[in-house]
Amino acid sequence: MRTRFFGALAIAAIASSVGVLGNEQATRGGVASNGQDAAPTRTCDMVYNFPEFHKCAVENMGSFDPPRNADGKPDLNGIWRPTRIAQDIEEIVPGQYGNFPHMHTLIVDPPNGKFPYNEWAMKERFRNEKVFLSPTAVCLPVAQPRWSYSPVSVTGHRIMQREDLIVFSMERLHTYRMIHMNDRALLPEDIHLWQGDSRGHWDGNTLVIKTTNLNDLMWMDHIGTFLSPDVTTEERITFVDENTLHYEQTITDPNVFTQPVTISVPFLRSVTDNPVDLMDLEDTSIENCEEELIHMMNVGQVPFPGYEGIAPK
Amino acid sequence: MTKRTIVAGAIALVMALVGGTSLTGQSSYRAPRTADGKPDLEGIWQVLNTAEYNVQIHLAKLGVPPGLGVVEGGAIPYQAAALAQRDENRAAGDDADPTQKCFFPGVPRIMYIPSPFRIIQTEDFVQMFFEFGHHTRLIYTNGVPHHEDIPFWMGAPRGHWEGETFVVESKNFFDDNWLDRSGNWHSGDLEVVERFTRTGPDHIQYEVTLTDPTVYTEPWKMSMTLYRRVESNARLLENECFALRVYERGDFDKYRKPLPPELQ
Repeated sequence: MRTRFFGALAIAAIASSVGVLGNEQATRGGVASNGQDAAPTRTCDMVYNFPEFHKCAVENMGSFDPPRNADGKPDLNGIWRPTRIAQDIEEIVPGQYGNFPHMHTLIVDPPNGKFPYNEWAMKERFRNEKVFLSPTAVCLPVAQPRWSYSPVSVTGHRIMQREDLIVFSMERLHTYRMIHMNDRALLPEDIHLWQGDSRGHWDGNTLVIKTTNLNDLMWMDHIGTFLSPDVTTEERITFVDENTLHYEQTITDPNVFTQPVTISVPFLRSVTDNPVDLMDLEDTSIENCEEELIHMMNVGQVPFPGYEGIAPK
Repeated sequence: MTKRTIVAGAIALVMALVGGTSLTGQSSYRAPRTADGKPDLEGIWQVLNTAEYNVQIHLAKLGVPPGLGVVEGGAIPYQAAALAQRDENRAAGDDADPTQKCFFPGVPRIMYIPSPFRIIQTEDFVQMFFEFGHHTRLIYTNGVPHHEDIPFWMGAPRGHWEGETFVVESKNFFDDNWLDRSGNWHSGDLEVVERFTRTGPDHIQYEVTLTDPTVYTEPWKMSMTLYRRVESNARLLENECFALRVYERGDFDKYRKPLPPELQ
């Protein structure tokens, strides 16, 4: 009896996010597939062309005076939807991955939109794709730095803001991140977490988050782009207009990349007159993954063992 | 007298003592208020009890700490067949416990898993973030109606304020789930009413009533205290249950197909 509903919600979630991907027009205005919205006017409306959006957002940065909290800081509270997902965050051409439509690269630096893998990591990336299961495909956590483009089925990423704490709560796998806005001591260097240890501060109207202590088990996509435990990230979140955030993240990992990688993606505010469906569903992926994972392993596919499991000794 | 009768006698004595004591004393404490005037429940909280092992009174076993239990009156009012199912669950052990498989622990179990959780409170909702399994509960307080036709592992909760008390009513539970590691259980017909009341700067009195006509003869109640984690370095870490199970499976190599030559 328990298996009857297994996956019903998860499947609905996946179908809906694919729907969003397949039809940019349907969501161009901003909100969820339940789309009750009228499209808001945006300062930078090329929200699916990430390099162009980035350029426009940077040019206009500072021209918008954001809504503010009682403490005077920009008010990020609300539900925000990134406009890209993680299959492969370089440019995707039609036909490359089944039914995936064309998608622009998320990478704005290097300017060619490609990961600047070192020679070893480039080979390893291709090998990973063929040899290992993608971590999120078997329900391992949606880790930083991947959260910003994790799939959103119904609503988006919920941001809750306090003077000393900012929380990102995501639909996918009921993932959350806690960003401490104080100078409390970081975790010891040898402690590694899926979400790492994040500290935030305000640089004018921009929220800056620096993260260390990440583990080596996640991929940035489904095609094997891995990171080492030495990776550090810096995220910058800035209002472009009332309903659009510019999200930028720089990933520095000299074990894997020859230079820091910067990605950029818009977050669109989920606005609706009908709050009934806002992030009210349960992602039951883990409840389904157990059997699936055992099946995959029995046919010879195993989870990614982490950087430490593949790095040259 | 056999050892068994001594133990049984000791349990009966303790149950009599516990049963005679109300754990839900009224408090006159007035909690600090949030910006919108509601009692402030924000912070990092955690139980200090062993209900996760067994919500009823239990003695220690290897790896299981003893506890007086949190059930008011001492015993869950099971129907006969449901009690037999409880014993069957218990005999099947951890392998049959959904939470040990890293599935949703359900409500109220998530509240007394002995690890910290953080409460964030806004005008429209109260959200709880649990270290264990990075579970969350999103409880609307703004009158948004339920999804009547969708079942949830964690139930569909709605909250409201009654003076000093935050009241959460949950229904639409997905199916059977366990209440602890000892096989105590509920069916999908469960309805839960939780009451959170600040009784001091660092304490919340937590009371929960379970109604499930398929399993119990009458509604019954658990009571316990939630303690604030007051350490200066208090924070949530990660207890990624499913990931731990995946990686603790360990010897992936025995599953792995031989690599094609170009990848070796």
